Amino acid sequence: MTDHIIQQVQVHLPNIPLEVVSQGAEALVFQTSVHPYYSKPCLPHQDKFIIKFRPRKPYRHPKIDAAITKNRTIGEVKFMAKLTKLGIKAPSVILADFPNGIIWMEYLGKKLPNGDVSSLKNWLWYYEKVLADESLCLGSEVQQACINVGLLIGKLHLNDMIHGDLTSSNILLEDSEPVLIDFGLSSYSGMAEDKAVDLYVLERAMLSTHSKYSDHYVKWLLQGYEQIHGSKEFRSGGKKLVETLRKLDEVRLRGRKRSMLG
Amino acid sequence: MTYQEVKLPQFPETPVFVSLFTGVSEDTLNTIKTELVAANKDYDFCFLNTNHVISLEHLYHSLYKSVLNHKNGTMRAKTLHTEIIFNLSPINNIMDALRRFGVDPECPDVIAIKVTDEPFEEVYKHLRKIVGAEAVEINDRVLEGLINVPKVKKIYKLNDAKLDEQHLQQLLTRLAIGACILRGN
Repeated sequence: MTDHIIQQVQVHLPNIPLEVVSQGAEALVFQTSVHPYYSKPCLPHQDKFIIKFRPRKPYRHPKIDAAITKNRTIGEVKFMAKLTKLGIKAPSVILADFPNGIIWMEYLGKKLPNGDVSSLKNWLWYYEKVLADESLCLGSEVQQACINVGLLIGKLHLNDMIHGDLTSSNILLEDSEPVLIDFGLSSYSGMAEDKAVDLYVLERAMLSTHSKYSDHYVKWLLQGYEQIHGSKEFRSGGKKLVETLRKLDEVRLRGRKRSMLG
Repeated sequence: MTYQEVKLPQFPETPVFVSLFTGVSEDTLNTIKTELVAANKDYDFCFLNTNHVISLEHLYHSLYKSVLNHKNGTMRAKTLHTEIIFNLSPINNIMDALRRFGVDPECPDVIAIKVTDEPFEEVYKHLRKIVGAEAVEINDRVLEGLINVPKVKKIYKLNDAKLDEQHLQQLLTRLAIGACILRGN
């Protein structure tokens, strides 16, 4: 299955070595060592780049498929460009080929001592499983990282942007500075409901991937989230925070979906 | 080396000639402009003023995009050289791009680009005659000194962006490339 898709992408990217990093339902993510047009880009990692490719879906009508691929790719690039403009940490776009569903972006993240990529998930797991020391797992370093993630998500929401798929693997740590990735499900909304759902998704994700200490992690995440709403940079942050947290309580009771039908 | 030979990894068969001239006289620039409009074959180059070319990465993005469009037959402009100018612009209008990025008699610094199979030394000799000056080395530090930041911010609509003065060139490059990629979408 994957081989077939790699052949498909290789047609559009001749002479580019590709290494599969991850695969989702919608897209494949590759890593490569070649920059498409410049060997010394103004980026922190100059020899690693990420390519996200949305393959054709054979079960869709070809015309609809082309339109969907193009629109989703454009939407994602727009979201990422806007984040860069707002100064919210996220990978910046190097190149995009909308009709073919290809996005080149900056590589972010470091290697952990055990060789894994420094996503929040792997980083916390490293503390939980490799170091396996409760005082370290709940230490100030982890606390500060969680608060920083909360601050980042708060900033995103205060700009009326919704990530849509907040999980601990979609947050990378670049030297304990969190970075958001994967904006395939992102949208724009000022509604407290959507922000609360976004937070709820993260809360559930933390509960299922880091069950042991998830209540601490979530507490710190929300602490950071509250902190940024109080900053002077954003007006009426306090009011928005109260609304979102009230909605979050509602969402916790009923789940992510608004209606119980279907 | 006074000119650069750019080879794109995906298109090794299409080398691109890039060179920078500083302090070109206004008369020469006016002649170049007239000859370009008259489509004189001797002036078949892509001439850019340096006010809005932020960095090599910014320029190369446009080169890549233009060569790609040329290969795919999806060029919007008539020639590859105009397409390079057009792809630097965040606005979906070729005339506008030519006015802003093309040769400007008021800007004495010019970048000349040519996509060709001819030997580059010949190209450079010919170009030197047209411009009447020696090319200087082109790199990010030189370009940084030649850009007009307020104008760049205006064109790419970055007046409300948060910019850290220390990494200004880097940030502007990222934002400008983003704007070029999203042009018209």
